[in-house]
Amino acid sequence: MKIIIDHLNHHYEAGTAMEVKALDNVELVIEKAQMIGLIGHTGSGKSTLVQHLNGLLKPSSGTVYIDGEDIFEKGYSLKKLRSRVGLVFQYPEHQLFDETVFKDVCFGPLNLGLSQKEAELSAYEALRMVGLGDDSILQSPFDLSGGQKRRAAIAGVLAMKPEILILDEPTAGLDPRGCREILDLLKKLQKEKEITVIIVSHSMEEVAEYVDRIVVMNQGKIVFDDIPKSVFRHHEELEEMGLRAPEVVYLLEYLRNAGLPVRVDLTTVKEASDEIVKVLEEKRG
Amino acid sequence: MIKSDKVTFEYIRRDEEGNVEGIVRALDEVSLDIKQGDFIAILGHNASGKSTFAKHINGILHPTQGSIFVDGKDTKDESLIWEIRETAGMVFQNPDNQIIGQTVEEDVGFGPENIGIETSQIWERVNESLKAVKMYDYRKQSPNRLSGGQKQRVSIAGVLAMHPKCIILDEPTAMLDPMGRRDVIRVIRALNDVEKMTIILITHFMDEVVFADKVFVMDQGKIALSGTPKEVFSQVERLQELRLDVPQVTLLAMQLRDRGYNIPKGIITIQELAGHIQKMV
Repeated sequence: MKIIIDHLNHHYEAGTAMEVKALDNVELVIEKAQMIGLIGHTGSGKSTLVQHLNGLLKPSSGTVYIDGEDIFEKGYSLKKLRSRVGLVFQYPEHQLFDETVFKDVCFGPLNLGLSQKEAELSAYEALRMVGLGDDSILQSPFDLSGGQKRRAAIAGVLAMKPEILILDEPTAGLDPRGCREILDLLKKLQKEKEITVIIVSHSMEEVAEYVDRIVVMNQGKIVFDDIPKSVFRHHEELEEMGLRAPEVVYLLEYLRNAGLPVRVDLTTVKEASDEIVKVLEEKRG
Repeated sequence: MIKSDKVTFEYIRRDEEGNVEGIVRALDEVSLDIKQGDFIAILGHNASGKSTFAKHINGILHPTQGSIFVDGKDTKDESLIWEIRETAGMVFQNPDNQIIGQTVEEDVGFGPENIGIETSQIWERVNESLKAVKMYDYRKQSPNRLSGGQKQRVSIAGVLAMHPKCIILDEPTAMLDPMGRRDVIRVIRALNDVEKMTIILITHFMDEVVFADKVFVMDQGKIALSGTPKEVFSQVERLQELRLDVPQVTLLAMQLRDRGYNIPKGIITIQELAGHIQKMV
């Protein structure tokens, strides 16, 4: 399931005094089963971009090809598109509404036209995937904890068996352990179910640890598209855009500037710890 | 300035038919003292009771047992509640839920107008509050066009215009991007450093509490840890048990210590850690 975004432009309120160019000639290729972090300050265009991938927004010009097909072409089934591309908005638990978690998760598949039995099977599988057990799925969604509600909402999208899962700030509002649980779940989905996962996020540390590739947007354009280590080397430019690199990057640079010959292209605590130990041992030996 | 005396808060959980399912003890005999001019941080995972406690300070909730005193006034006293709320103002998590004015200055003026302050005085307060949060240039703008961080700063200005002695901020940066977070924390620190405003910051972001005078960590309605940021941050494993994450610097310091290097506990800044590493060369 390959996505090709081709010369995509999007103007909000085109032709009026308040016209905003939200996407400016965006080009991107996403291969199957990649995990991508899409980062950028508020207003950079990242939410606008992902809403094109499931047809919620139409481009002003340019197009999106999914498996070679132009999704904005007349006759392309949006229903089919939305069963393949699942979009989870920020604070997805605000969408929970049904009497029980189980019924809520069945809603999506039923809407896609599955039979009651098929929908229930999909729902049950999705709930197992997100780690919600038999005791919680028969509860009212409103009785769950924040992290559980979040997982129930994600299950609601997973039940439609998407090949691509896009999540807008999936860890917003969760406490540190809650964040880890959700990110571990997404990694599991990528590895075990070969789902392509796109995370729109503000948190550099989270993104650095989990994704294969980072795409940085600024003012409607893509400015970086590379592996995390390479992207975070440009931390001065990232700061100009209102972003930051993970804290360890700054520590390693500080040490290097003070004369310790450490690598500066590392992004996690474990990597930094290994590198510092290695250099200190070399200095001793 | 704020005194919490064995505050306990329970509420009844009911099922859909209204039958009692159980009692939840959200706060369990919480006692603490906050002095005028303190910068206090209250940390905790999502269900720890920290927001419930924050809502007790200005009387949004009342304890089922125990009492809270703001400037000596008991929050349970109905006749004093409005005075209490002028003394202790609150800023909430969602920037969109707190702004109602058509323009920024209208919104900030809402509070003083409501308590009957004279018009010329209202404008004075609005202007000085907006300047304090660096949003004076936006005073004629519609709040719709502001970023999350800017909206939160306007909310803080709205509280400042009431001339409080204390501001309580309940996870004010949870919905903001890094730049917005940085701007809001900067304003909060300035208010404490310069105006000597008492600040109570509720958060689960540990990097925001580095500058606090004292940190309380809550869990299951109780205070589980307390101390200066350094003292609290040194207990990395305990914090992780309490579902919190320490800053990368602190975690790195701990990993190096575990590998045999002589790094003290409680490291919270890059400069500190770099200093210790350099000594070992």
